[in-house]
Amino acid sequence: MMRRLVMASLFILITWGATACGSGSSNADGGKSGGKVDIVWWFPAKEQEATMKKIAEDFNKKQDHINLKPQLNAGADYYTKLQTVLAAKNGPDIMWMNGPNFPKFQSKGFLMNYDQKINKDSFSMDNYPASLVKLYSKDGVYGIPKDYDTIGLFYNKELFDKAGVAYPTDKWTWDDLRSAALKLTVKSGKTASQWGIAANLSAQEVVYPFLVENGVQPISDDRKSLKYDTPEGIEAVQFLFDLMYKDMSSPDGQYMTDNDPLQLFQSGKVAMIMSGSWMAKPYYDALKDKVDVQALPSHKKSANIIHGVAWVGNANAKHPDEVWEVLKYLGSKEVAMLQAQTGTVIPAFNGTQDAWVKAMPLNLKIFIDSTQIAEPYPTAFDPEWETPVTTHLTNIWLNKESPADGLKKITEEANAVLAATK
Amino acid sequence: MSLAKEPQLVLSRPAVKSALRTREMLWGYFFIGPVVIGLLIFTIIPIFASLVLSFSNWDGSSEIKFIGLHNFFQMFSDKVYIKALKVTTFYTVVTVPITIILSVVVAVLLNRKMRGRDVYRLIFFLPSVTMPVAIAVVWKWMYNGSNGLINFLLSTVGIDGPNWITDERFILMSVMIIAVWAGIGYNMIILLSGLQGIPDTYYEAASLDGATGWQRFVNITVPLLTPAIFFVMVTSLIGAFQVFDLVFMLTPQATGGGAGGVLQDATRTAVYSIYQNGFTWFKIGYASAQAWVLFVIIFLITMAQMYLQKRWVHYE
Amino acid sequence: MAGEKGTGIATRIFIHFILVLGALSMLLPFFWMITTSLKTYTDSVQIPPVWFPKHPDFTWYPKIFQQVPFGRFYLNTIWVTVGRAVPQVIFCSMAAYGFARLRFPGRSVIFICILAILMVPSQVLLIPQYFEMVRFHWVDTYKALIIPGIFSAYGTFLLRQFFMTLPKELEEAAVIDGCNPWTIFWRIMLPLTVPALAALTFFVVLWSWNDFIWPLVVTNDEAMRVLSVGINSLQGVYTSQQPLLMAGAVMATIPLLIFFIVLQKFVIKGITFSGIKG
Repeated sequence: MMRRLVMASLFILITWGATACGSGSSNADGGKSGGKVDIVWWFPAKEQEATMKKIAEDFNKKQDHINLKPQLNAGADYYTKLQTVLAAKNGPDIMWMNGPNFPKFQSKGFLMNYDQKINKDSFSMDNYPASLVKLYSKDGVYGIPKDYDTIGLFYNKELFDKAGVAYPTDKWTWDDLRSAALKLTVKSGKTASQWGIAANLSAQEVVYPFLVENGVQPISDDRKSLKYDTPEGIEAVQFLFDLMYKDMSSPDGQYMTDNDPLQLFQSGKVAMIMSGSWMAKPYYDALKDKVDVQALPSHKKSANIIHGVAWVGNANAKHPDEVWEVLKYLGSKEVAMLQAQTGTVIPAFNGTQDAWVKAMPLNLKIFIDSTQIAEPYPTAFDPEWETPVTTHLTNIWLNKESPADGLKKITEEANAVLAATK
Repeated sequence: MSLAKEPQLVLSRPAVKSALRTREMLWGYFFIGPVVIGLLIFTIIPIFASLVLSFSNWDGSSEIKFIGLHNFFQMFSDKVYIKALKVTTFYTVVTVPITIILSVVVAVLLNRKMRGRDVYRLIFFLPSVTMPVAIAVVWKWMYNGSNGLINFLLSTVGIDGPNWITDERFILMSVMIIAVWAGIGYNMIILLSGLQGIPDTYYEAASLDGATGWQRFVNITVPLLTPAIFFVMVTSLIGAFQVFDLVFMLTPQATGGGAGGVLQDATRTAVYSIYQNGFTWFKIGYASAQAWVLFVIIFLITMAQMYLQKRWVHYE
Repeated sequence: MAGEKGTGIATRIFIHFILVLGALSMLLPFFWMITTSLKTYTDSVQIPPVWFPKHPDFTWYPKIFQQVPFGRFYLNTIWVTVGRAVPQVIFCSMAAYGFARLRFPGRSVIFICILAILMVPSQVLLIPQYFEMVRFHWVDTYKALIIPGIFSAYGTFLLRQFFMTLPKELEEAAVIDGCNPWTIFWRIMLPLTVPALAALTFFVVLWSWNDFIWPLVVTNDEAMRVLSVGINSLQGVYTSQQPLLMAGAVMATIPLLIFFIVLQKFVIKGITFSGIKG
């Protein structure tokens, strides 16, 4: 009897789950309330919850056939949850998506392709930075850009004043950065009590910007190969390595693993740090008028890395037309303005960023200007390609591999993964 | 109730005896029924689903393709997973005995009438109720290579302490120390309830016979505590083989696609690998296969424990 | 129970020294949780850390109530915890008694199957279990939060170990007195396992109270959220405010501590009671 039960249950489960049974999306009961269509909308960012609720409220007032339901979901575990619910053919109609996760979800068929709808409604994608649109395209457009972030050089004015060093300018080169960092480092005994810079191990905020400034593409245009072990690539990473292990003007990798570099900057132990635009508010909260920000120093050229969040639609949504209607609204200028005023994110809609720039008394304009020279954050369709990158960068930062060796291994191993992707 | 009234009269008659057996059998199924049915629906069926998935290359999308034993063959050449199994085994072999010995000692100490006993019990259990983030932050600070508490204490006696969690030779040991530290409280609760369950009459009888404190401990406390110790052993071992949260908390996470490098290689456990495959890379079929290999290992060891318990566990 | 009279003063001091040392290390994270909840944001990001905030900031506690319906999370958590714990302790003790004391075909096989459940890493069960909830239409309901959490292999195994230690004579006497298995279980065996029942009750309460990933996955609506998920949602995607998080954690933990203290008192009474009887 036991065996029969097991077999029966197995059969049920396989037919239930594993096959495309095309049953319901979103909220389990299919989603109609009071003659209106329910559209469920997920995002993980608590700090934006109030704005999202306002957006939904406005939208629900504007029309009479859709009930847009915003749901803050899961925070740091957002993508784990999203994967679980989408694999069960469930989940929200519209969801928040970031660059590195987009290929994973898109390649599983979870997301809706909007090419046809964009053409039919002649919806203009030119309102957003092109690199962001590209970030959410495969064989067509899948995402409506929501906001973006670029990287800047934050610095502690108080520490600069104390050392008598001039503040960074937009003309700074890597060499200026290096000599200023040395001057801002205060040694006490064998260790430093203050460092000029924190060359922290962040691919997006430190490594990729330095690579692109030296003319190295983080990933090829077809997202199928990369080449970090060129002389230019090695020079860029060697520069960062030397800040830690030669000049000792930056805490080394081990120290920054023990002590969060962002906190080192916030506690005034470090004079400069390269961070994304999302750090402007926390830095300002901790350091107030002591902090300001400047464009990244240049080398072969001036460059930056741009990344952004987009709204994507569930491929199994019950009411795709209504979902598209909401997406169009979320991509509108009106919504962008609402987001800008809160100072939490830079809205993606061109020309709406002024409100964000004015939200704090910092030189935030550099983040907007940087979009002109920015390359998109590298993504590929097999998420495993990033594993060799983080593995060997970690080893370089911990001084277990030389920059040249580590970059060579990244290039070999990542290319092996990338070559196998469809 | 009425039938059970005359067992002595009827026991010799085989037909009634078997009727009694049937009765006991039905009662048995009645008692275990709710748990068995509940577990069948909510746990065993999903377990079989994951078994089925382990023979597939399912990645979460709608198509599911069965690929036979391919996942299992792949594991033999997966150096990362083999290394993870080794790390897990080492972790288990070291932490489980130490935790159990310390828990028994603490439980016995805190079972005595002593000053501040209730406060100690509460404090030893605090790590189990404290938010994991707080535990991680505090231990990271204690382990901090440059300004941590442990290296400060070591420096007062002239020892130059290592980088506990940023040196690949020490990080696993540091994780294991926390595991023991946090495990004592849990086990203590079980062992204490085992100790408290020993009827006082036994001790009274032994006292009348003139047994010393130590004799009573060896002849009464230890044997009667063995079932609880056995439970703690089996469950700690299972828990140790499945260790994940602790490692995840303490291993530095590089930004952009999970942690990496020598530190992660040193602490990647089997379940960490399962999590990485299943949730970071969407290889749900392969993750399930890894989980089943881990299951077989744990199952064999537990069966060996069940077999060996006859030699040392004292049931009534 | 062995008294303290037989031990020398040196041993006693040594024992206390070890216990105090262990206790201090275990108090530290809890202490950190409380002080951090009173730090200003600037103090909370300092390296080296600030242990005693000079200007305690009490605003994080009211802030939580402004940002999330914390009261609702409390009620949900209590309801889910009670809903799981009461049936679980009853069902597990029944099953444990069955496995420990009654003879029926398949007993050891079924018991081993139950043990085997503990050996499957829960990570690979999340997706299949979620499938079930979708199919039952239980997503976003208390049913999903409570019912799958009632049935426990761990609890069955724990209590079985305790039933195995009880003297057989008690049962035999009861059988002669004409009691059926239910009466024996309810009137004789259960009172004798009060310490173990208390231990299990505490574990179930602790786990349901802190359970995170399951409530996270099976609920979407804010009104269905439990404390662990609610506190987690206070974290931002890019940065988090540790003091806010810790204030939430302190408020979530205090009921557990009170419960533990009360339960411990109750257990001690339970033992003296059963001690007289046994």
